[in-house]
Amino acid sequence: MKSQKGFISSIGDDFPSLIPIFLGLLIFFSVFLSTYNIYKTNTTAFSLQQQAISVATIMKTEPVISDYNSFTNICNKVNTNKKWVAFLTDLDMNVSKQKSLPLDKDMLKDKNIIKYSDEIIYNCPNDNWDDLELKNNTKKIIYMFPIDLDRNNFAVPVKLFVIVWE
Amino acid sequence: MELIKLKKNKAQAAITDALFFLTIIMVLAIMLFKVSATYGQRVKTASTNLYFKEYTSSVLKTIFFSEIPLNDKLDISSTEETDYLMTAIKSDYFSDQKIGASEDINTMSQAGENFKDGDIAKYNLYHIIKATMNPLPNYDYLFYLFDPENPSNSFKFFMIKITTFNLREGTGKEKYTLTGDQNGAEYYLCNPYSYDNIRSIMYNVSDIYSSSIPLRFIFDDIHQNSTSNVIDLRSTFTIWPANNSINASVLTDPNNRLNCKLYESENYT
Repeated sequence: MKSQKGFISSIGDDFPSLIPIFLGLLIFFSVFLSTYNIYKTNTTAFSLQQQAISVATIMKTEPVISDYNSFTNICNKVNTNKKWVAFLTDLDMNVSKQKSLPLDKDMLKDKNIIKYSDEIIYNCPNDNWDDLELKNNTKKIIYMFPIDLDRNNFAVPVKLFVIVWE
Repeated sequence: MELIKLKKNKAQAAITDALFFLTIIMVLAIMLFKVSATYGQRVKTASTNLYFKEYTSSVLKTIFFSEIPLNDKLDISSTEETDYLMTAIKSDYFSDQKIGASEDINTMSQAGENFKDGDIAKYNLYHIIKATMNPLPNYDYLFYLFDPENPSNSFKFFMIKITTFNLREGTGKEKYTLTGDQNGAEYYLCNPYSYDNIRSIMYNVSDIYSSSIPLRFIFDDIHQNSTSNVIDLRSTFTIWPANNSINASVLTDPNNRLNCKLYESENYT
């Protein structure tokens, strides 16, 4: 057997063929893991978007929010397994006087910047504000909608922000 | 003899099998890459569509349920008299079957000394829409009140906002394309001849999000020419990304029969 050309040993004969096999397995599992990560990331994002829309739909149930009690009652109807907060800010009819609340990364890192901002009219729920410390890699969705609020017996447009994260 | 010798070269057959295996793995990897690149695109698009659909619906509700100062000051806290916007609009329509002081719906007085009281409802409608859309500067929009039963006098109110861009020739690979930064916005009031004229300018705009609700208006028919003094209008609010925007010259081109007039413009710089 040993004198036959091409024969090294019972394992040595197969050794060259192991290289493409290992290479193939390496490529397959790398691509598989990459695809799985993308799947997991997108699934989380879709879940957050769906919950954000669901929370916003409940918050917009009343076309005009009459007072803080009414706002709180609407907040209590929200039922989601994600962490969320909602708050109202001014929307001046004179666009030159409108202020924007820049919900950038620095602002979201400190919950107190948003919670105690002068521009927030109402906010809820109180419990979740303590958990609102969104780091750079936190997956979050921020939605904004116009809505009416009864202020000093006038129904005026305001902005409703809904933040959902996990 | 040579054939027998070849048959004894066991390593070659194993290599061939391994290369077949590698080929199959590469095909599977390419398919997985393709799936991962496109996974969730439809759901992402559907989620985005749902958000903007909800936003346009919220804008319409906000318009209808807001109270307005019955003057041109836009400050409800300092005014003596207020009313719901839709009530003011319907009251304005009741007397003369038009909204605003002018016979032309593409005309509206500006705030100040020359402001006409007949434009109060129209003026506040214009500014509420502008205010609710101001948080989304990257989107253009239009709003109209439309009578589908009256082809000759279909539109009762029509406003459209167009973002303007500083166009410049690109560099490098983009040399032969026009790129631009947002320069500002222009707001037009229009009196289109027909609904088809609107459809023709919106035909090339992609990513359109729209909400529409019916409204019932009552008018005072002092001549008692019609059998009914009720009219069913449709209010529609439509938004689209500013980078898909319509060129402003399209709105003022007489051939397009939109009959638009520039009401005001803003400069972002």
